[in-house]
Amino acid sequence: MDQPPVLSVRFNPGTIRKTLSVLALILGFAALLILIPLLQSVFTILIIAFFLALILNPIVNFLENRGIARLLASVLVFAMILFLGGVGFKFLAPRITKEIKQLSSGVDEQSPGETLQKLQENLGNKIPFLSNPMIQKALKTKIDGLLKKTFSLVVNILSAVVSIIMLAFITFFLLKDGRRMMKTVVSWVPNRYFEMTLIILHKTGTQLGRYIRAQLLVASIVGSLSILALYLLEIKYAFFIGAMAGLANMIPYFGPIVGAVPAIIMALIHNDGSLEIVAVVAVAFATIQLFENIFVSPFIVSKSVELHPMTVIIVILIGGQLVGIFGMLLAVPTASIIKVTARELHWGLKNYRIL
Amino acid sequence: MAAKEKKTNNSFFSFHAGDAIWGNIFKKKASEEETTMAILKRVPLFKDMTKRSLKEFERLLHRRTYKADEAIFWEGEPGVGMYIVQEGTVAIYKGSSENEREELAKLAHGEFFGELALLDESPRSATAMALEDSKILGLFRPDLLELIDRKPRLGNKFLFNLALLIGERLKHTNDELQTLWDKLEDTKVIT
Repeated sequence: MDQPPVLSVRFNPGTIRKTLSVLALILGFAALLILIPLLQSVFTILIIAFFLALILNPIVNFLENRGIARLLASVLVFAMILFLGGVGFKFLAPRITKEIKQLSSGVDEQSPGETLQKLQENLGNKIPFLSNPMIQKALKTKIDGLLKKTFSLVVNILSAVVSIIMLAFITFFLLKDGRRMMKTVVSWVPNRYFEMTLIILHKTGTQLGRYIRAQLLVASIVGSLSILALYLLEIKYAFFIGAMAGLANMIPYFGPIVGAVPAIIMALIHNDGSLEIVAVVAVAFATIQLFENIFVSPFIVSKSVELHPMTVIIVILIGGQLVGIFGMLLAVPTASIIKVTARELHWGLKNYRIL
Repeated sequence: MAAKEKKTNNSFFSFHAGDAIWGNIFKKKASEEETTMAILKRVPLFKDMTKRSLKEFERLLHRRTYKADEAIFWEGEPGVGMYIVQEGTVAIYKGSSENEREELAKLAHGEFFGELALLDESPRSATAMALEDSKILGLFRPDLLELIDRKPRLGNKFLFNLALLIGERLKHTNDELQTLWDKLEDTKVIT
């Protein structure tokens, strides 16, 4: 009655194709992970250009809405940004370049040792365990590495100029022809997945656009407040640190701390280690954080993209490893993109009966 | 899954309600070679539009090719947009498996289908399959939404035409229902 159990494994073409495509996907992803650290600067530029285009796209659409051809609209928006950038630069350039030069020279040439030694002396007096030479050495090398990585991107003037030009170029063409590029890419998708791809791209794009724009608004508010606070407290390099604090604020959990630390360090170094100043700066930053959390974020950022705290921390660390501080900045937005894409992909695959 | 009984195809039920939704109730003959613009001109959705406006829509169109017996979309899938047949033939089916599916309409050059999906992502009410190797033009909801954002006048004109089309289909459905009702009353199935 009972038939002996027969184990039959049938490899129909469908299974083979599916396995191969999954394999190809994994290999592609692995290749990407290997390439990213190598092509660090290129990737950074691409990602920044992508985000810039995403933010500026509504403005170009608005102009097109009013009857201006897309090419002209792109040129206009671009010119406006350049103009604003130029004005801002002219106004702040002397200050910023001075600050940056001082900072980098203060760190790179006037050996990191000296600045940090000063810092260590001050801290060592207040916090005994820090005078332990091993910890000092570890701290020194860590901070060295992190600062060097960041400043190497900023200070190398020639490559910075080239990078900015490339950035402008890519952003302009993404703005002008982004839609057409998308369409070409979509036309390569096989029929079975075509409708699903369209829907996913559309949903992902709208959600992300909203999220990124909201984040940026919050970041600029926090940045402006920080700059103001630091300026009033007469902390040196107020503008630079304040701006970084605003941007860093976009990093959840670590952001406010990452933003506050440079400020505190600067306060310590240039005020001979008076803990009073540290307390004031800390309080100032905490107040700004509180203000942002209560009055700013809830009205602007809709918490549609939520990542588990563990995920956030891991992602930020990976970003830092791959691309330095910029990586930490871009880590969460990039992870959000991946998460939204994955969610919509899952929805699509389920509804289109592929899963 | 229990096998569905096939509907008997006698003259009493010689029309299908599906015709009103899927069939081309705007019968026009088509010739083999037509440029995209010429095809667009014959679709009622682009009625009374200038050449420039048509060009704008032509830019939004996606061109897809389907092999014989390849599905364009399946019943129950979220809808993304409408399709216009450029070359070949497309059949609209109701029902899931091969033996129990019922053909609602057959569409050829210049005929279109699926336009309700331009409004929302409600599941498709039928399956569309290419009967032979076909070239199909697609106009999809995300692109339409963006067009409405960028060029509202043109978007409005299109939406107005879409509303007219849906109204026509609705009137057609009502007429068919009325005829069905009358016939049922005649045969005293319903009193």
